[in-house]
Amino acid sequence: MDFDFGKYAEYMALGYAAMVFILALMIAWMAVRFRALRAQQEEIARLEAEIAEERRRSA
Amino acid sequence: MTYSDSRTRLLRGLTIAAAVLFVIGLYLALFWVGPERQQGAAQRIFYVHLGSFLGSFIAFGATVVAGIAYLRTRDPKWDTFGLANVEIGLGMAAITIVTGMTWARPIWNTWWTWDPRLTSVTIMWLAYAAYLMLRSGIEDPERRQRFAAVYGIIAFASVLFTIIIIRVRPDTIHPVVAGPTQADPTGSFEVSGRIRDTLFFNLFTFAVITVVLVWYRIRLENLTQHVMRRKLEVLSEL
Repeated sequence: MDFDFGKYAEYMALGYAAMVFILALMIAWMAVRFRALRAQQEEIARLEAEIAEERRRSA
Repeated sequence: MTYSDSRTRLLRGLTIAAAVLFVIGLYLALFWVGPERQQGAAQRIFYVHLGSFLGSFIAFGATVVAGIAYLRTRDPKWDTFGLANVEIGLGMAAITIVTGMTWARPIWNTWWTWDPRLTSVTIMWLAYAAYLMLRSGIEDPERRQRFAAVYGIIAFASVLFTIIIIRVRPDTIHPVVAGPTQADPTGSFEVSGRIRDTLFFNLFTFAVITVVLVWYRIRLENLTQHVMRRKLEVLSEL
C-alpha cells in the first residue's frame, strides 16, 4: 500500500502496538480467569454429585 | 451465576459496538486524518493517548461513586464496582503512559523526563496500584471493603492533580489540549478540522471500551465470589 504516514512513523507504530498489547493483555487476563472459574464450577458440580451419590448409597 | 437475558444482550451489543468503534477509530487516526506538519506520524499517538486517559478518568471517577455508595449502603456490589473500575482504570492509565513515552521520544528527544505532568501521572498510577495492594493486605471482608471505599475516594485527588498540574505549573513542557496554560509547552499543535473530529471519535470509543471492560470485570468478580462460596459449601459437606 502506497501510503505515507508522515515522519516518525516507527514511533507511531510502537505507540499503537503498545496500546493494542495492553488492551489484549487485559482482555486475555479476564478470558483466562473466566475459563479457570468455569472449570472450577464444573469440578464443584462433579464433587457435589459424588457426595450426593455417596450419601444415597450409605443411607 | 445467572444474569437477565436483556442485560447479557446489552453487554454483547456493547462489546460488538466497542470493537467496531475501535476499528473505525484506528482507521480515522491512521488513514483519514493527515500527518501534522511539525510532528508527522507521532502526533497520531495523541488520539489513543488522550482517549485512554479519558478511559482511566471515567473508571477512577466511577470508583469515587462506588466508594460513596458503599459507605452509604454497605452493599458489597459497590465494592465490586469500585474494584473493577480501579483495575480497568490502571490498564487505561498504563496505555496513556506508554503511548506518551513513544510520542515523547521523537518530540522531546527523550522517553521520559520528570516533568510535573509525567510525575503526577506516575503518582496517580502508583496510588491506584496501592489500592489493589491495600485490598490484598486486609483479610476481613467488611473492613477491606470499607478501607477500599475510603481509599478509592481519596485517591481521586491524584487524578485531579494530574489534570490541573499542567494548567498551574509554568515549568511543564507537556502540551495542554483544552484551556489556558501558564507554561510554554513543547509539542503543541492546533486542534482543528479532522484532528478534532478524530479526537472526539476516539474519546467516545475509549469511553465505550472502558465501560465494556468494567462490565466484564464486574461479572468476573461476581463469578469469583460465587465459586468461592460454592467451594466453602462443598467443603462444609465433606
